[in-house]
Amino acid sequence: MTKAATVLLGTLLLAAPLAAAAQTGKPPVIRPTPRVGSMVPAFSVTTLDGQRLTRESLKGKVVLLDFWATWCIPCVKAIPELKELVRKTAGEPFMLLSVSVDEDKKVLEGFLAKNAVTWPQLWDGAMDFTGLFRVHSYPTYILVDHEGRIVYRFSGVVAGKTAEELEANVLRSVAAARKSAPPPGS
Amino acid sequence: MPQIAERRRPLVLLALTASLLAAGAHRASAQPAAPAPVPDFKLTTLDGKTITRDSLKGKVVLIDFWASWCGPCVRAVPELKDLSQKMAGQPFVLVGVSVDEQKEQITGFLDKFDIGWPQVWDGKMEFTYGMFQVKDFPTYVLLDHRGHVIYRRSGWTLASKIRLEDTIKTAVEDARKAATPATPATKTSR
Repeated sequence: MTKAATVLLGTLLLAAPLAAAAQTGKPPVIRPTPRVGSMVPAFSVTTLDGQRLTRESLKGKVVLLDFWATWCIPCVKAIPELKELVRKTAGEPFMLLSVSVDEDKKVLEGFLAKNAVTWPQLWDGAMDFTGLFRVHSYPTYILVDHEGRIVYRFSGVVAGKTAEELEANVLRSVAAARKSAPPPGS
Repeated sequence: MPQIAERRRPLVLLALTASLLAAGAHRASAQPAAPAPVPDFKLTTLDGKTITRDSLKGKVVLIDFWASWCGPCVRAVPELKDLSQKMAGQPFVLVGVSVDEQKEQITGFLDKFDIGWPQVWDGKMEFTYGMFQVKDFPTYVLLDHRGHVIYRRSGWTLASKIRLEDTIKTAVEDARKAATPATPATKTSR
């Protein structure tokens, strides 16, 4: 092997990954993982009942994102707790938004009708929204305060002690949201 | 020769990085965090017995956090049974802690699967989450004879089973050594 050839080989070995990246034409996008303390990434989604939601449209409201699926047993077991939370926060600046990763939209719709789940639902079969939050275990709950900041994140079984913790976090954020924006008409 | 070195450098660097990564990964998985003492607790088993931290001192304790609706928890049962039989007569206890909502959900299950080790019902997750911050199932927590957490893992796989069994064996060995005072004054550095 000539000197030129070996040098070329060495250069190729070093440059291969860079060349691969260059071929796609744009630098790889590395988004930071949304963590507690960071702002919610920008999004635009449409719920099953046709509501368009964006990060900006939800400002002023506390939002609890519930990443789930109908095949996930602990997710389904949490529904009574979530119903209770919705009941307790009626009339408050709060929204529970469930995000289902079910593959089949019909399965989700059937489940929701059968179990009388009435809060806003997002079908995310392609996991675009779920991926944005780097969620990969179910259920995962992400609580976003009225300014759009993530204040709590929990994955696992919601019952007893953990249900109390989730509720306490929601109520604390709702109280903070109310304080910062006096109710209209006051 | 310099040509070869030049050609090989990236490979050597790659190999070095790979071995460092492997070493790091190995260290992270093989060496649990510094043993932490468990706060005192008091549990009542389904058959009415009381278990406290101090009543378990001297024994290696495997706590199996589970639920009857949890597939991998249930799949682990035959192997846990096997383990508890293998460890019979040793300073070892297996304790099941179920987070089923209803007590009745486990009693039927225990009969069906003929589970003989002590079971605690923790439907409110007071012990499970309040003390151990366990929220995924199954989770296995191993306490050594001093009541220190020496192993903790969620999920049940062949690999995790092998590691758990190895850790238990070593811990039981240590428990036995600690129970019989060594004849010559030996210094243990652990």
